Amino acid sequence: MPLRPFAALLSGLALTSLAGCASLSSSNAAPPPAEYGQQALAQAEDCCASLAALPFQTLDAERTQPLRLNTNAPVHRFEDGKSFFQAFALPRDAGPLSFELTSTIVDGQVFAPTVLVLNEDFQPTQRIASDKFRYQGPSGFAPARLTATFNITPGPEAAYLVVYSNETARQGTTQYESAEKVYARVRGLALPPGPDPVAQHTATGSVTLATEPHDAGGGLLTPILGDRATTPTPEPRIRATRDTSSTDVMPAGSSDFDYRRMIDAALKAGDIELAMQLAERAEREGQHGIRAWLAERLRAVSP
Amino acid sequence: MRDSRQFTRRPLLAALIGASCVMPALAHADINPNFFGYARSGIGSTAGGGSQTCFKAAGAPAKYRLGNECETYAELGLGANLFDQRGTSFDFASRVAYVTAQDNDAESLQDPDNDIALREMYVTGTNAIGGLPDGSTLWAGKRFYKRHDIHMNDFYYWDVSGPGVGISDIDMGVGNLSLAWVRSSGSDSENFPDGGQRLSDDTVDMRLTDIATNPGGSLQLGVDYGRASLPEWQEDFYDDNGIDYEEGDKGWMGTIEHTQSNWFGGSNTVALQYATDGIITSNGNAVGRPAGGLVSQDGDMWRVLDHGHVWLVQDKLDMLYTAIYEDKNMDDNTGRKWFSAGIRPVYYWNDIMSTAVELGYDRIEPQSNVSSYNGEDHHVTKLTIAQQWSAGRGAMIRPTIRLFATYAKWNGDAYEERGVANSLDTGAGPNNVDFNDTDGLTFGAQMEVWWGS
Repeated sequence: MPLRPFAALLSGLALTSLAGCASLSSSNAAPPPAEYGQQALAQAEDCCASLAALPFQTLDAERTQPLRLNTNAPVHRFEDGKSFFQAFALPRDAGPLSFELTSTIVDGQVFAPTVLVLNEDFQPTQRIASDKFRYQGPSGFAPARLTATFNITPGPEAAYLVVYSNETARQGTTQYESAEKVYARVRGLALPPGPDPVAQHTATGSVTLATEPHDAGGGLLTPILGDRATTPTPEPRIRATRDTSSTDVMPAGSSDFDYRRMIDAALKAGDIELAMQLAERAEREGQHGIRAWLAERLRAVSP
Repeated sequence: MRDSRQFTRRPLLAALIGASCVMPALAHADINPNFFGYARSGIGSTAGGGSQTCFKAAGAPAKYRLGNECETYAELGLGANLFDQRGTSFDFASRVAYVTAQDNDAESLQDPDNDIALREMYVTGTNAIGGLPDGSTLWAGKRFYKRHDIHMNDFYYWDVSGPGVGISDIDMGVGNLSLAWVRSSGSDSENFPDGGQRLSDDTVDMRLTDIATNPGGSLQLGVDYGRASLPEWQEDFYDDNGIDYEEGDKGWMGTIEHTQSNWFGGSNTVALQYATDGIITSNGNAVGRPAGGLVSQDGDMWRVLDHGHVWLVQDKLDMLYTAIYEDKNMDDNTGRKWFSAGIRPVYYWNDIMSTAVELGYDRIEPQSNVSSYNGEDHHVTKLTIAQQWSAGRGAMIRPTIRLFATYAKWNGDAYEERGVANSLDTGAGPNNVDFNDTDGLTFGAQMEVWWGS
């Protein structure tokens, strides 16, 4: 049978590949366990005497970047504890920016981020605490993760952004759905017994920061709360949207969007502020004359 | 203050957008559809020519699947949470399954070997019945019901899926109680003059799950009682033809299963099952529901199995493993003993690429009256090596695209003659090894994916 040499070759291949694994695995270490990161953090020296001295990187307004929050990241003792961090200088003239910070659960570990916004004098003006990050189960092809979306209009009050984790957050845990459970759920199998696994909040982790100009809009699913932050306000507001899967959505960036109809509806509901914001937005998108049209409408409505 | 005002206005905006018809789908914006499913498809060949042969021991209910699946199979599901208030929720789910022989571009689902099947269409009402403990779920409709399978050989050992009704997951303190009435109609083509004259086979399924036993361990106990529910005209028919239906139409199956989590980074499941008469078939797989036909179904079956997933080197090397012993002892000697064992170690080169090896062995010892395949003891050993690219590390991470080569060896002729099983099952895919071959080699590529939110 001519296939026999093939078979021998195949078994040989299989065996060597397995043997290879055994030898490789010792030299090629797995990701560090939680304690390793914690130890590295405890031993690391504070990089900087003050927030002003943090190593700020420039932030590209239109990209998704992994934040290297590993044991090689800089360390600073923040007000609420020592942490590995990454710090960015926000692009001054970029206009309103939308951010999505995602921390992936890997091997039962997750980095529970806090986002700190500093003004141009390096004083904290806003904070998104780790409890504002929502757990999102694996969906589609995305793994289980913690995410928050927020909007910042860079300016004197929002000049820098720091991602770190505090000691309180590292005491916490996040329960998540295992790969086995996802498989069982989507195949209609009996769910594996026992509680969902729990991810430890660790000193290091796999975090990505996605940034885009707010007007890019993120398609039809831009949370309306975020949209409101684009209007010029005396101070930049920043918040984690509590529920990104919420039904409250607003089309963005669509030039043929029927703003007049929206504004009418907002006026009917007595929401003049929303109407004005819609008008501003329409003007920005080149639908000139809407502001004047709204003024007319308001005159008509007012007693 | 400002924030809370904004919050109260948010529903307004959703309604407003809906009303503006810019995006009609948002008119019912509180329905968020779930899209979930499973699919596998690929291409393969048999060394020596012809499309991929898949190697399955004749008489065995399963085969080791890595690099050994010859069809395109998919399940596409749609569902939605329709109501969620004050702790009570209603969810809808549906699922359609597709299978094709993976021969062509356009494959009609009506052709032989191809199929489209409505598998699920049901609603669950969690905490719908007042007075029951939190989490109790009322459900009705056809569904996959708490199926128990072994992934690496696609073997279902407890599966009473079908149209039904039940209350599941009633927290009893010691464990969760689930009760269900499900249907799997069969036909007695041997006796009925018309194959369309269906037998309503009913199963009552009772199971107590999540019984905490040891740290990380939990036990579940289940009993399935099945019988054909005969209308008078069917009973008269059997009486007139002198067929004893009392013995053959009933059966029960008991299951004890223990699952250990925190088991070398994975889990281990061991199950013991016993089944009688009408709930088993001589050729098919006993899963806890009546088998379909009425006569010649006397006997019993023992099955013990162990399967699991372990990490041998964290994040570098994991392994699926399986061992099954089943003794199906039919009074008419058409049963068989089945022993099966397999391992699938996977080495992860990085987050995406891995190398998988699957070694599987199936041995069949037929009873004396087996005629549809090799009546002698026979066995199939298969070995597959696959290079895989996946969305992460771990045996249950998908999607995966794999290139594979599979070698299989067996004793006895592959087929009695072309298309008639001997040591190899003919139904597992194309039969492109020679009928008197005792080994075969195949190679190809396959994708596998499942998803769902």
